[in-house]
Amino acid sequence: MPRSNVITAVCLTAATLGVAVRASAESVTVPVTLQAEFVAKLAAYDTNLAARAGDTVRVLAVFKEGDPESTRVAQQLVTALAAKATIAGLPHSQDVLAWTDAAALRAACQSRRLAVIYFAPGFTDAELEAVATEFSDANVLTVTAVGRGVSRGVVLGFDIVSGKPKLMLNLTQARKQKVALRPEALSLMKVLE
Amino acid sequence: MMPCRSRWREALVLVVVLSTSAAQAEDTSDLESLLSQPVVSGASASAESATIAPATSTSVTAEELRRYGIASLDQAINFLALGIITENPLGTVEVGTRGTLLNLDYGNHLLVVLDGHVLNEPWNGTAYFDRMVGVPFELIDHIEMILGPGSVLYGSNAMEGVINIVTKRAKDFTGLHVVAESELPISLRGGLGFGTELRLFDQPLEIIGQVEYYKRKGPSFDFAPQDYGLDAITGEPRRFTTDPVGTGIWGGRSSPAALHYDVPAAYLRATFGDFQLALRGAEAKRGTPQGWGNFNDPDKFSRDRWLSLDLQYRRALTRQLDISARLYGDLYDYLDSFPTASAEQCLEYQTDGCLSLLVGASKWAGLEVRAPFDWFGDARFVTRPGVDVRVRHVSSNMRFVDAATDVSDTVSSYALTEKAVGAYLEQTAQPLEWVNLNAGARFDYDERFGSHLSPRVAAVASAWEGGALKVIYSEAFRAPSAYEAEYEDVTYQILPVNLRPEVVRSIEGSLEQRFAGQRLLIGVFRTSWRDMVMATELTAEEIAAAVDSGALVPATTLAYQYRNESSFSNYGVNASFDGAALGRRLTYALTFTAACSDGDLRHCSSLGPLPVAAQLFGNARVAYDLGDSLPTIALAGRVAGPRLVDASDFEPRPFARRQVELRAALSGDVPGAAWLQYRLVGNWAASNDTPYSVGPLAAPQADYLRQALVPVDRLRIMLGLSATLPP
Repeated sequence: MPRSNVITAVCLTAATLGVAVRASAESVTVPVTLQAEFVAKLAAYDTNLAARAGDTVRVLAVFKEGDPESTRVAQQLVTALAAKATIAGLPHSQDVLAWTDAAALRAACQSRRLAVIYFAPGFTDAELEAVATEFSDANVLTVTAVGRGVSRGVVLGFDIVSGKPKLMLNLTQARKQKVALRPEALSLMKVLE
Repeated sequence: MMPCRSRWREALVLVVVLSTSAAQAEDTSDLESLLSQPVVSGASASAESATIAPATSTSVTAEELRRYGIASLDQAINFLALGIITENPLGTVEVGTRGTLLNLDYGNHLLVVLDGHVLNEPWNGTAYFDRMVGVPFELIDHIEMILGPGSVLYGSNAMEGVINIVTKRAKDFTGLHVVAESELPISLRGGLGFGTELRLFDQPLEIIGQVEYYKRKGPSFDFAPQDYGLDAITGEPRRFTTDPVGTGIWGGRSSPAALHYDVPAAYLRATFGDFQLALRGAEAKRGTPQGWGNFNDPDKFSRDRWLSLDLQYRRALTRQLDISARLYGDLYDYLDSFPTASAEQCLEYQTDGCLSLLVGASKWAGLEVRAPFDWFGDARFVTRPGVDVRVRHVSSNMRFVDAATDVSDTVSSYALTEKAVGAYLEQTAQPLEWVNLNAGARFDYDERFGSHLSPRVAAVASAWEGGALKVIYSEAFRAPSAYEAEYEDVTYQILPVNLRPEVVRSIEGSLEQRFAGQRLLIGVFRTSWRDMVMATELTAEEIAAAVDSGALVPATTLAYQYRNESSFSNYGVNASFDGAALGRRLTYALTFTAACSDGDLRHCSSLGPLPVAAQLFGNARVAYDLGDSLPTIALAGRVAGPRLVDASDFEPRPFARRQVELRAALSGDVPGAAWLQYRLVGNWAASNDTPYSVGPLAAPQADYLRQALVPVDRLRIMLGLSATLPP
């Protein structure tokens, strides 16, 4: 290949990369289909789910507008959950919502009677901490796609260690949000107090 | 002896009892099944559950490495992996899969990848599978051992499979780490590592790194004397040592200094925003008492050196489209420095012996760009195109330095710059909730050999709870190495003509069932290997023609040429069972591979198993975590069936006896000092046989009636300490 072609190729690549000037947040490490499996199965271990959900388990996947990965992961989760016949033996519905702020999400949670709120990647620590504060007396299971969010007040998160998925639980926040997982499920999680 | 059927019945009962007890103890088996699913990224271009990945694979975790006292890649392969095995001829281990092992190939039929960076170099395709892989073990998060052809993503060399080493995230390696470890009393490894998470310009910054040095001398072995007799050149008793007068006798007790390893290595990986930078430097110097050159000579050594850089960038551009780019560059060189006092091993006039020096070097750089497109944004139909453009330079020089005069004579020298490009496309589809399809192909164009297409198709049906049925067809190739394509030596080797890539085609199927925290996998495979490159002995007519053309010196009586000479096939079954019980404090696993390989390799006396390759092998392990500050107790064992000995003219062809190796490991925190961890490991091998002949005699003589074999280090204790200091 002539040297000029190599230089052209490098320049084109650099230009392509240059288009993407905005740095992304932490990437998802646990495949989203596997996260959906966990959400569906873990719901059955929440002894408060039936009372919280009523006749239908309603799941909302929240994403950051303008963040392509966040949008994609939220959509993938909703698609994967939609393929499940039931969640904890109950009918279910799922939807996506673009993030505005914690108060608006709290309002949506109450008006839609949400049982599970899933945060796609892309949220800052401050945003997740705001959610934790806003939801400190709510009745909902919050889930984050990246494990780091659990230390910021999301109840449940996924991580990957040694090539295997791990579950992380913020027990303090779980109690505040009336999430009561059975002890045998807790024994499989990394629990943060 | 218990009938075979009864043994199977007993094993089945044991499995049922174990799984039932686990299921009764807890009712979280559905969660445990999900938690035990490895997530792999080496089989296709994305992270996915191993169940739906288009390959059979084992994922060895950092926890398993610690628990079983694993200190090197070959130990991980032998004790923890499915369908893959190593053999140790002293020096560098060789690796094989599912009934094949291509003797003397320097690992160039199996690709080794570190955080996405291919370690096999382009001069000879060399990769190592022991300490000389040059990756600090404490940094490893997990190792994916992927069986079967993998050229669809990786191009050349991924014929037997891919070993994908993934290092830890900084969150799992925070602080300062100090390591000291010894295989008492012959080796010492010291290491210093660190990991940190920071924020820089409001972006996450992760750094992990470790430097280490591994040094080993010994052990000593007894090599039974072999009476070789007279040197064909001098007519006097052949010299096997630097003693001025030869005895014609090879062997004796080796000194610890003659079996030596020095392996310094360093690795650094930094992730900042969407960028990842990895730097690796390593050197592997070793010497053995046996093999080519003088016996028991501590000045005999081989040395590899690597320096590599890898810069990756990944970004989601839209909801459907990602882009990733990887810019990489490597430097590598190799040196064989073999003193020999035997005139037979030197040039014709070097009757006092010589120093044989083989230098190989390569440097390469490239750019790989991937742009996966998720058509509906839901991961059900994703197209992953990619292109990898590479420029490489290889050079080599082979010379003999006269021991008496220091005059050096070069017999082979070449240098060339080559370009190669590979373009690939992978399509995944999930038309139904329980069906995963993966189809792809890679087209490689390489100035060394032309072009090659490597397809792969895989289908996984997860039609029932916890079960999956998988069928895979795949192909791979290996480009002739520069050494094979360019090496010539007027004393014994002529250049090849139109050397083509080696090709492997494989079809396999497997059934996986998860139940109550256990996983059972049974697979069958058939693989066909064609156009395998081997050094072929020339006929008298061919030698005469080569002498006439000046390619060989007139006195030549024995000469070789690399040719696409061989083909063979292997087929068989592999199975694994793993699980956990008692709140996951008890973990256990076993794997089993039974294969049959046959072919027309010249060094087989007839159709039969490949030399060195075990046709029956497996491993089993169990560990129990006593909890709190008490240690974890682990036991592991492996077995390799009889293996045909290489390079022997004995009839019938000798086999190395079955090898059984056991290891026990104790690991945990030092009481009262949770920042200090220990591991104590004992390793014992039942047999002293390896499938490698040793010494200059390969045929029976009056006082030499049994083929001598490279011995085994049968009993070794390892003690390791590691301290973790908070950041």
